[in-house]
Amino acid sequence: MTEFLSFLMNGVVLGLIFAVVALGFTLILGVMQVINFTHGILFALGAYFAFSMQKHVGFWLALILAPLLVGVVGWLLERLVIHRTYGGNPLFGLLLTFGLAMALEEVIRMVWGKAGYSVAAPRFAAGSLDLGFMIYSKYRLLLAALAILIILLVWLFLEKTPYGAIIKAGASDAEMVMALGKNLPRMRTFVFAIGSVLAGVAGVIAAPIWSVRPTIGTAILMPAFVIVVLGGIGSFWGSVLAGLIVGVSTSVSVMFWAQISDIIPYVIMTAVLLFRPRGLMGEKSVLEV
Amino acid sequence: MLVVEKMNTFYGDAHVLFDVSLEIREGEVVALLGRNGAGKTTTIRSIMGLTPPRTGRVIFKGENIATLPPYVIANRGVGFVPDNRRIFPTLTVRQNLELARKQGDGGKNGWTLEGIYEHFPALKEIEDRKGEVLSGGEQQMLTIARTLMGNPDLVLLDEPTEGLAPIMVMEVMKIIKELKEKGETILLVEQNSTLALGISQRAYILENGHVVYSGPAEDLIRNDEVKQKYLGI
Repeated sequence: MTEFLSFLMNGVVLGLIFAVVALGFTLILGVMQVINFTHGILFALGAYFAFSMQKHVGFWLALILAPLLVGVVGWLLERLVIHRTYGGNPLFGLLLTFGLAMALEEVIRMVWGKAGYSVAAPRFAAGSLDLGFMIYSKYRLLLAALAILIILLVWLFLEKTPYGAIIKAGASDAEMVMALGKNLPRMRTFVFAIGSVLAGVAGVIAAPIWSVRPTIGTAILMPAFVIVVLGGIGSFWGSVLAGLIVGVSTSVSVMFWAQISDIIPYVIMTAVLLFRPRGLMGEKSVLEV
Repeated sequence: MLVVEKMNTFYGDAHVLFDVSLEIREGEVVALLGRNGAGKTTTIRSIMGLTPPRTGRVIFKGENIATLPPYVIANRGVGFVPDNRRIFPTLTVRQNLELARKQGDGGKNGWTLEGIYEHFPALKEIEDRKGEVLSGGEQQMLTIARTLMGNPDLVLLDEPTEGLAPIMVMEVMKIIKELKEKGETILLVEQNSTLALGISQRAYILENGHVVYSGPAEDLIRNDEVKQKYLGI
């Protein structure tokens, strides 16, 4: 029972990281119709930046600075190349970001090397906490709290601020937003940067529980993609829910039958899409009649 | 206010507008008529910069805006009311309105949210409703009100009565008439020529992307030959 609880908790923590990554991914997909394959590498950059910074500035400052730096990288990518693919064949954006992701993974190898690093949890969050019903890692609890805070902040931003309203409007009708006087290119760059920050911050908080290596970008990208499709493209809570489902099912299945834990997200996605092509909470899909 | 000179617009390789020229003076309501596919909506999209003309000039308040992006054109004072309403479905009525607010001189009538609600009391009652649940008539009122929130100097109004129940058609025409009385400058694209001519000072007729008639609305009302030939009435 205790063992099950700890697998379950690990799954929730994993799911919350997935959800933060997936939210950035779906935001970019929803507003720009770009399947952003650099999203995983932006996550990896967040982890590496944090790894390099923490020794000098500590956990909290790195938690702020590393994602912002990832946001700057995302901003540059969008301004220099990715914005050229908007409105064209969706394949262009996909291929371009795919190539960028491979190139950036090589850059990571050149700068930080091929080997993995382990990142220590901050000292105040080292060790475990007795929750009464179980004993659980302090850092993972902190991670879960931070992820929930980030998810709520993004929700508040999208739902309660005028800028969030413009972004939501842009996701349903970008041309109309522009015809009402909003600077669409600037808004798209901003959304790309926000999405990058989300990928980066997830990388920072995940670093202490995973070893930081060049391939973590690819490792996080596929689940993120599955989650966005499973939750329903463009659906905020759909992504959060699907993130938790994928996290928990991956983690708990290890306990019963470790070999299937890698394919379980795909099995769930396939099963859901068979009956609901729009995903769990998505808008009515073009695939449905 | 607006002078369009020899505008030529293409969709890809297809030439859609041929040397279209027209003029709208301040405070005027001008009707742009013609059959389906004559190029009326394309004319509006070209002025707005959404489908920019390949050649020709669009002079607005003395400056050529033909090559500017749509958001700059909008901020210069051109308001666009699209034909299929295009309300943002995930935003509330109030958010739809507030989104369209622009910084600037406030325009002729200085529309504010309060002013809009005073003028469209029905919108005030549904201000917390999401765009996706509104009826066709509510959406049409909102799309006009949304554009007014940006305090445009010129309103491009594309097929405002399309697909509405007869009672809503009369309601929308009443709104346009009131805007005219408030001194708004309007380019009105309409399929229903009789209604449009009833509130316009002047009219243009498009046929296959060419301007084939222009003149005072009163003259066109009495000119059965032209109406028969280009409008089918």
